[in-house]
Amino acid sequence: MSALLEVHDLARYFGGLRAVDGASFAIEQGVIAGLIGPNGAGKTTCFNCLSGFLRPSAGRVRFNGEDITGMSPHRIFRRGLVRTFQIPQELETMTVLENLMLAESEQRGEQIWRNWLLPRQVAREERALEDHAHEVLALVALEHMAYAQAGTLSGGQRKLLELGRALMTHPQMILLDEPAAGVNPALLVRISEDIRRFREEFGITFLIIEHNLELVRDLCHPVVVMAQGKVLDVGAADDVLSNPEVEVAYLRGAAQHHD
Amino acid sequence: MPFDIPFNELFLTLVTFDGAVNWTVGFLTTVSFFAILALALNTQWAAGILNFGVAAFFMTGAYATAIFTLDPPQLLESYVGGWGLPVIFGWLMAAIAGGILALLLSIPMLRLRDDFLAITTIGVAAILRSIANSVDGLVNRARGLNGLPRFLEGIADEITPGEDYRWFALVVALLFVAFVFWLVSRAGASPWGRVLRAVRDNEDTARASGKNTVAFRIQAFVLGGVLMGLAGGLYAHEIKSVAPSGFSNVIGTFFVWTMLIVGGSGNHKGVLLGALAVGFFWFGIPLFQESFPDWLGSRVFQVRQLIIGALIVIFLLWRPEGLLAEQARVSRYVSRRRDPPPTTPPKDPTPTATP
Repeated sequence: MSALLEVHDLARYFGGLRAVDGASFAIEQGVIAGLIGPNGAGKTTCFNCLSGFLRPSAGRVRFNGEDITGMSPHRIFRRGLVRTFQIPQELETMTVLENLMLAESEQRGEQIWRNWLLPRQVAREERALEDHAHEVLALVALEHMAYAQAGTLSGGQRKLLELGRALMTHPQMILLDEPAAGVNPALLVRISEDIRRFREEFGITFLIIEHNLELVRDLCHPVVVMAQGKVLDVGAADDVLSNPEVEVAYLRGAAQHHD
Repeated sequence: MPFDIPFNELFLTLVTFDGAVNWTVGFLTTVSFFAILALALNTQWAAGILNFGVAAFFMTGAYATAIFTLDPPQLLESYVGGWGLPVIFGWLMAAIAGGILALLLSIPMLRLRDDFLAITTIGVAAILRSIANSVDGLVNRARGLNGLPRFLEGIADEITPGEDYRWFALVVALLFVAFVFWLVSRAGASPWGRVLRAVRDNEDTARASGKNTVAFRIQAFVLGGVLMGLAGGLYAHEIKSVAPSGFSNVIGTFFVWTMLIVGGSGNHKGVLLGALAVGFFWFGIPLFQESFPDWLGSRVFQVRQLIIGALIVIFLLWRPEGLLAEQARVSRYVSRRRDPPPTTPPKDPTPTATP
């Protein structure tokens, strides 16, 4: 059986910069995989290519056996591959509840004419959707903020809202970009427990970009290490983290960072 | 500017009750068309589309209905069309013409950033005015198209003879405003409107929520274009003549934007209020011309343009949300607030120490 997500020789160039330079890896169904590497290794660019936000310069991406290379984001979303952002991008003027309701796909009320001619149908759909959004809010412990404007949330709550948005459509796989960045330790434990629980209960596969190596060690298997746009190593967290090449890559990344 | 004429004539009669009623009827009828423009603009702005070419759509609608409803050109006139069709058909064509213009413009719109789109739309308005002004045999150049029929004039005259037609015109205009208000409110306060708000606030989030943002932007732009075209059509039959000079950027675009900014962008009720307030200011000021000192009274038409600009700046600085602010709740189907779940403990009246 082939893997859920297969990435072959993926590349993305920005002018002369090779942000992702021939990365290949595969993620099996049902795992919580990690994607680590020094700053500038191409992790987020890789996410952008997988989720359709950037068109890859070369290479192929297969999801569930289907070639999704270069598809637009909404198409990839509908196939069950959902992403979050490194810096949470909630819709600040809307309520938390409607931030989540937005994420349901194939809403009939999104066809403009139904709102004029079939308002009752839309109303029914919206009531069901609202119930579902409340369920998801309960999952990520944001129920008490349902009617607050999303702009009033704290940084940690925004992370939870991102996670909730990703959960709304029962996705097969979630790409999480730094779920632990800027999150206090108590919430951190909660988020990693949540991720485990969603894997168990809903069978969601995760690929997580994370700089917190403790969290990665605790949560992720396998771990993919990227450096300078290439995949350096894949394996169990303890193995890849003790790989001297990986250590060198991190040191080099840190050195570049301080230049 | 053609709008000023009826109001100036009415100035002398305003001192009487009849005069005041006459003025109010004319004022409300004219403001109705601008209210439709403002509601249409609000729908486009709801998707983050910066349309600074409202005048182009307004003008396109007005010319479209003129071409279809006028009789064939006379001696010195030259224009296409002149099929003498019923006014209601002209209105339909005005709406369609506005929609087609929006569809054509959505091709560059997809490639341009917001601010460049604003510049493009201003340019389109200038180009259309220039074409109307200079192309022979198209729409009678700068002299414009004159003598447009009025809606159901013959029949209306039989019901309410002569002068009372303006009451009929007012009712028709207000019915159109009500219809357009219903259309844009229903569309805006819905899952469709929620996607537009998402596209405006953060397009990346909308895309990461699985929305085809391009399709939604085009829909909002075309709906706005259709309604602006309709407003132009209605307006043309009210003033009975259409000329390029009547669709300047000031009256056709920035006047409408002021209504939106003053009333409250994102709130359709606010936009109606803004249309009424700004319209009253614009059309009302000439009434007081005689009461102003000479140096001001003689410049009242220049001064009101200046004040329109000042109003935009004042509101953007001190009350950017407008008279009526946008609401956090988008879809009218979502409950305003639910009772908190039973697990939430009731608020303890006695203060407790926080750990």
